[in-house]
Amino acid sequence: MIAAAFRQLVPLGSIAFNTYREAARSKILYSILFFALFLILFSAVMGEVSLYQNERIIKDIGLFALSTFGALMAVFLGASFVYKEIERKSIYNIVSKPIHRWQYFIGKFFGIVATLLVQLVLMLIALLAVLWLWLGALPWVLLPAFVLICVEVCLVTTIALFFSSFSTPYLSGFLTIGTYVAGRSSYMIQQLASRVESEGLRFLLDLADRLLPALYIFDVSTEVTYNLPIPTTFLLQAAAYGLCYAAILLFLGSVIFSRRDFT
Amino acid sequence: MRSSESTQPPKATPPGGKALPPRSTDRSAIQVDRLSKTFRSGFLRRSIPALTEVSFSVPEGCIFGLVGPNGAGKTTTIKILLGLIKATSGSATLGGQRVPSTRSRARVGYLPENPSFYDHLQAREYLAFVGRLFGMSRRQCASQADRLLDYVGLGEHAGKPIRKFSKGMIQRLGIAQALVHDPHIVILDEPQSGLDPLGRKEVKEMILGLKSRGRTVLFSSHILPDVEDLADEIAFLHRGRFLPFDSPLTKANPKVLQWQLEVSDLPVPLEEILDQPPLRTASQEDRLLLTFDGSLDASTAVARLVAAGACIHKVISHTESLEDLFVREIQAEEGPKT
Ligand SMILES: Nc1ncnc2c1ncn2[C@@H]1O[C@H](COP(=O)(O)OP(=O)(O)OP(=O)(O)O)[C@@H](O)[C@H]1O
Ligand SMILES: [Mg+2]
Repeated sequence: MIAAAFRQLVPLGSIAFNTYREAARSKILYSILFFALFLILFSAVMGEVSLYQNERIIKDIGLFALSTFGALMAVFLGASFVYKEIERKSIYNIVSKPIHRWQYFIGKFFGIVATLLVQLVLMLIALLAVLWLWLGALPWVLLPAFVLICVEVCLVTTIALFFSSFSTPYLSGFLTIGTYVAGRSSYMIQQLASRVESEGLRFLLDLADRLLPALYIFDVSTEVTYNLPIPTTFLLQAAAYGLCYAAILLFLGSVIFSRRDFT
Repeated sequence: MRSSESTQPPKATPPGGKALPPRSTDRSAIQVDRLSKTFRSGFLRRSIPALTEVSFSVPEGCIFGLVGPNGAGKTTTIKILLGLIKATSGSATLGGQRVPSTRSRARVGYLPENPSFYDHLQAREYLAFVGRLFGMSRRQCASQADRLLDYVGLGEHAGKPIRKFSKGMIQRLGIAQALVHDPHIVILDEPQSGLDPLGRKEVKEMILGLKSRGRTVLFSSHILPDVEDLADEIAFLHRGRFLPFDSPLTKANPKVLQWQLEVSDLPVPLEEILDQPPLRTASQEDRLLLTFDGSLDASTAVARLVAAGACIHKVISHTESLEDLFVREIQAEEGPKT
């Protein structure tokens, strides 16, 4: 039983590993990473200029760079990686092997997420190094915030992969960014829904609020700025929410992907 | 046209893999039953029939050639077998397992048409990756990868990223990855495309080598003389249907198109010996090359020439080749060109 389950994971693991290897060796990601590192350094300079505020500014800009660039890379990789394989036909030689399509799809997901996590850790190290070298401070509140950013990046990756399981990279990139922006501000939809008069519109807004991923819960920049504690239960709940949402999308994406013709 | 001369025996055998025990030949390795595929294309979902009720079966240990003009449906048939495309209707099995399923693909090696791999992986890494997908151990993968790269002539490029490969090198890598797990059934979509003359010959030898070890090979090709040389059975697809066609190639009794005689020392002019003049006469130094229509009885002509005292150096029969048949069938289907 366990051995059989393990055998199913071998092809999934090697697809994930080779996806990571392929992504890590291509140069595209480095430009984004470079830009994010530049922004973190820039925040340090900004901090110098605005007296007494250094730590706050460096933390704010650094965290913003981490979450924004993380999400951007997730959109980029998630929307383009599977599609690129279909376009270039390299997928023919993989899904024609004795593997299930879902193993391919989920293997790709883990490969992309591994790539993104490595980039995020590099950015975090850069941010902590700047804070420590400039100010001698190590604000540990950054760590839970970082965990939430990682969960969010996973979720954004699955959104992009889900859209790319049936549409083109531009369309799925566009849809993913739309979902990201809407999800980040979906608490406003809630507020809006409570105010509108029309029954139908309220129902629609309510539905949108329920369906859209509540990405705003991963944003703890206020807590980080003011060094407020982030409760562990909140952290766990938010992570569980994000991972469940991602799992559902991965499942749906796999189902759609399994039904595709590769012509 | 082909002249009735040589085919060479297989030389190289792919590395690894014992010969399969001989099986009763009535078991079919590949079975295709009334397979149809209709593509839906464009906004209006216009239907494009690509395959219509195609049926065939390939016995174990047999080489099966799939020929037909561009767009005939060869690749579509192959992709359905490998589960890349779902058939609209009909069914198929590979090694007795229904298609599409992971089990049906477990013992199958597949070379896609114009294969494409990952840019940044090395050839060796890619082969090992494919081996892992077939459930091979890491060590097996590594040793098979190196052996097969040597076998397809890429030994010295094993550590190169695939992005730096030429077209023919990619095709060779494609062949290597199709053999990595020593498959029982090998399906090759245009295996010779993009290869140099030596590479083409090596592919022929490889296919014959696979057959000699009891493997079943299904391949599509536009290089008809090679199909003719290799295939035990040939299927002819045209616009998604099989053309009824004198399979297996009327090999026992091929239609003779033309005769050629090389003679010298004619004592009297030719017209006095033969009732019917040759189609063409060409002279080469002291010899004459006479070309006759295939319907003419050659033995009478030869007997008369010998009786008249002429010296006969060569008798060549040009039988109808697959290529002639191909052109004739297609023209008959499409009507004469204006
Ligand atoms: N995605 C698709 N949408 C619509 N029609 C398609 C699609 N893929 C293939 N076809 C059609 O199916 C038919 C068969 O194509 P197929 O690729 O099987 O031909 P083939 O015999 O392999 O040709 P070739 O010798 O050029 O490789 C063609 O008429 C083609 O136009
Ligand atoms: Mg084709």
